[in-house]
This record gives sequence, C-alpha cells and structure tokens, in this order.
Amino acid sequence: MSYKIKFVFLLTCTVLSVAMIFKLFNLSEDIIHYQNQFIRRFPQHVAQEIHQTDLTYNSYYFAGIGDGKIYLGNYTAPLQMLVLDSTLKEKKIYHIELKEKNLPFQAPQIRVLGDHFFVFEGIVPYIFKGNISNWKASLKINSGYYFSHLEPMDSLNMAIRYMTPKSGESLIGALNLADTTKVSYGTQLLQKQFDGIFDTDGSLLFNKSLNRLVYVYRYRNEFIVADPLLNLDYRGNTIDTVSRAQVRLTQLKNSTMKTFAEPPLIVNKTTAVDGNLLYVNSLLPGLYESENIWKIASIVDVYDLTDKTYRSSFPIYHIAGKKMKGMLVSGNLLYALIGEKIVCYQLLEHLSQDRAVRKYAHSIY
Amino acid sequence: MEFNTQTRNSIVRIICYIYVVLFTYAATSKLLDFENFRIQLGQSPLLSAFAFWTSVAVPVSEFIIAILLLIPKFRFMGLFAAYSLMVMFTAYIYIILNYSSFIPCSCGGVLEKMTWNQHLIFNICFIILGGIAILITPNKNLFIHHQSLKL
Repeated sequence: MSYKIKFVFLLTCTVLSVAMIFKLFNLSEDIIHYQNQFIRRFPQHVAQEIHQTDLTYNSYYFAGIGDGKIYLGNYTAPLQMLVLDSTLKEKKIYHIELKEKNLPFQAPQIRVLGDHFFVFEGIVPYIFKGNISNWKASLKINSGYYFSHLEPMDSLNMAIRYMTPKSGESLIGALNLADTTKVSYGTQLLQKQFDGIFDTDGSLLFNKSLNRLVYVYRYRNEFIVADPLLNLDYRGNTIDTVSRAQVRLTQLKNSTMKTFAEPPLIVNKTTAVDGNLLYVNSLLPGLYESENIWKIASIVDVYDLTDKTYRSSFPIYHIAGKKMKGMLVSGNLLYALIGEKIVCYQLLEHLSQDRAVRKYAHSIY
Repeated sequence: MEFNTQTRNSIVRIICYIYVVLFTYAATSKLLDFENFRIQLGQSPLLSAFAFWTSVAVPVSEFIIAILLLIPKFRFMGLFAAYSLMVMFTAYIYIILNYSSFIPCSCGGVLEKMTWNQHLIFNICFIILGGIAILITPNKNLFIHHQSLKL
C-alpha cells in the first residue's frame, strides 16, 4: 500500500468523523429545543442569587411588579400592601381602604398593574379598583359568575378564570370593568379531560410585552397562549411527558364534595412570564439528572413563547428546607418567595440558549 | 525510507501501546462511574439527546479498539479506528469551544477553559501520532496481515 493510498484513507476517515460529529450536534440541538423527550439542559451559572430579605411572615404572595417596585399581598392581612424596592432593601407598608365595606369579605386578593390596583374575591364575587397613589379603592363589580383567578390585562380589562354555574367547570373569560354587560368567554380554551375542574386547574398569566394570555395547566404538560380577546394562538407543551392529568378523586360521604383519592401528580407548580419567555417550576425530574439537585432546589424551566421552544433550566435553591412557593420575573431579575424570605436572582442572557440552534444550525446543514 | 522496517515496526508498536493505555484507562474510568458519566453526557451541549447511546457506544468502542491494537493481525485496522475516534473527540471539543452556547464546566472561571484547550492540544497530538503510525506501517506488515486474513 503506497503512502498515497494511506493518505487518502486517512483523509476520508477524518472527513467522515468530523461530519458525523457535526451532524450529531445539529440533530441533538434540534431534538432538545423542538422535540424534547424530557432532557433538561442546565447551563452553568445562568441564575445567581444577588439579594435576600427576611419578611418575618410566610403568608406573602406576589401582587405585581412595576417601576422598580415589588408589591406583596398578605393572605393573613388581606388589605395590607408591602412594597419593596428592586434590591429588596427598602420596605414600605400601605393599608388599602375600601369605600364599600358591607360585603362578606373572607379572603380578598390584590393585583397591581401600572398605577392601578385591584382587590377581588371570586367566591362573593367582587372587584374593587383603585390608584396606588392613595391606595383607596371603590367597588366596580359585585355580580356575575364566581371566579377563582384574576389577572389584570390593562387598567380596564381583566382576564378571569370563572366557574361555570352548576357544573363548576373552569372557564376563561375577559371582563371589562367599564362595561360589565360585555363579558366574553373563551369556551374553547380550556380542554376538559375528565371533570373540567381539577384536570383544567392551572395558573393564569398575562404577558404585557407580547400582549398575550398564558394559561399553564397544573396537572398536564400543556400551556395555552391566547390574545386578550380570548382567541387561541396555540397550545404549547412543557418538556415532561404527562399529557393526561393524573388525578383521582373520591366523593366525600354525606356530601356532594369531592377530594383527592391519592396525591395528584403535579407537573407545573408555579409559573411566571416576562418578555418572550415563560418560566415554569416543574416538579418532575427528567432524564440524566442528578437526584441531589431536586433535594436542594426547585427547578425552573424556560420556554420561548414566540416559537414554542424549550430553552433551558436552572435551580432556585431551597432556604432552610423550604421550597419556592411563588415567583415573578421582570427583565433579568427573578424574585421568589421561599418560606419567610424573598430572594432576587439575576438571570443571564444565555439562559435562552440562543446561539447553538438559531445562529449555527442553518448555516451548514 | 530512512528507517528500516524494524525501527518502523517498533515505533508503530509503541504508538499502539500508548493508544491502548489511553483507551483502556478512559473506558474503565467511564464505566466505574457510569451513572455520573451518563449525567455529564446528558448535560453536554452537544450530545444531550443521544446521551444514552453515546454513553454505551463510547466506552465499548474504546475497549474494542484497544483489543484490535493489541492483536498484530488487526493492528492496521485498529489504527484507523483509533485515529477516527480521536478525530471525533477532537471535533466534539472544537464544537463545544466554538459553537456551543455554553461550556460545561466543573468549577467555573478561566480554569475550565484552559482545560478544554489543553484537551484539544492533547487530542491533536494523538491524532498526529495515529497518522504517523498509519503512514509508516511497513508494507510488509500489511502484506502479512492480508495473508493471515486469508488463512
């Protein structure tokens, strides 16, 4: 065998080997982002804790964010509003004053959007609206279906998850506070699997920058994106494989009430949305993950709402064994409520893992 | 042609042994900590979707190549396989360093980058060694190899 032939052989081997690895890389990237079979990607150091503050109580929830301020409501002091600056150093407490006081108040909740805030309770039902300059609110709505979730879309339009009378099934609607006769319902949005109550449970979000409603199912791997008029944009999937809600219910004796027969399989626990991205705290470990991370952290998966792709995941660490129970994202800052603490994580840009697929994949293959 | 056949043979043999040591060591250490290896592959920006198959295929082929290199009959074939595998490893590192949106790191900072680049140089040395071994394998040996195949 001459040098020449050997050399040709070597060259062929080299070219074939390199081509094979490049092809594998592209295929892998494609599968991960577009048809993921539940393999998470954890880029290093994309989310780092930068601030932490003790709130003394664990009963806070996120009411809104805006103008460098974080608004926290409190379940046990329902009309108290705690306002933090973005670095979590300054705290201010406001007391909301409601003009109409003769309603059967039980557990009012608050949302803040822009200069306005809303106090509501779906099982009465009522909605108050006020301005954050004086924290005084007046009654806007005191009738209609019961509801369980409310997210303001602007100062007048509310996205609401109603309970259909009698059946109790969930139904997403849009309400205009100025013209209460015009409630529209997105009957095609939530899809019933067995009871229309538990199987459609989930979290309702509004994304200001895309002007879209996002609903993330709690017990299955799906999220719904719709416009403010409740027209369906698309249904996307989270990366896990639970397409049917795994919830078993049992009837309570001497009652029409139902309860869980066994602990339900929660897929998507808490969610947040900001910019083009959807953040989902999933409770299901994927393939090839170390178990240790699940013992010390909550895992947040990131999706791009503009192209339905999975981007990456990062951990939010437990504090003294307590798990994250709420999160809110604004720009590159993520706030999380963990036990009595609130923490701020800084998110880095390569969290969206853009470079690999989008800039490279189409250049060669 | 400056070297006589015997010298060339011994050089080829030494290169083969180096390869054997490298592959056996690499494959064994992977298998000893297999779970961890699989997790690392799953996190690798390049092959995450194929982590299962690559985690099996890589150590197995390393062992097979090591065996091929030890048997004189199959040495020439083994050299080509070893060379190709090394090229693949190198291409992998090259992609990680240049195209991947993140570099998987064990600690962080500048250290990790150094290690990957050193890895690249290390691999290139092995590729050159493999190439040399293939080119200087005496034709007489190839002939024997063909004959023995016929037997």
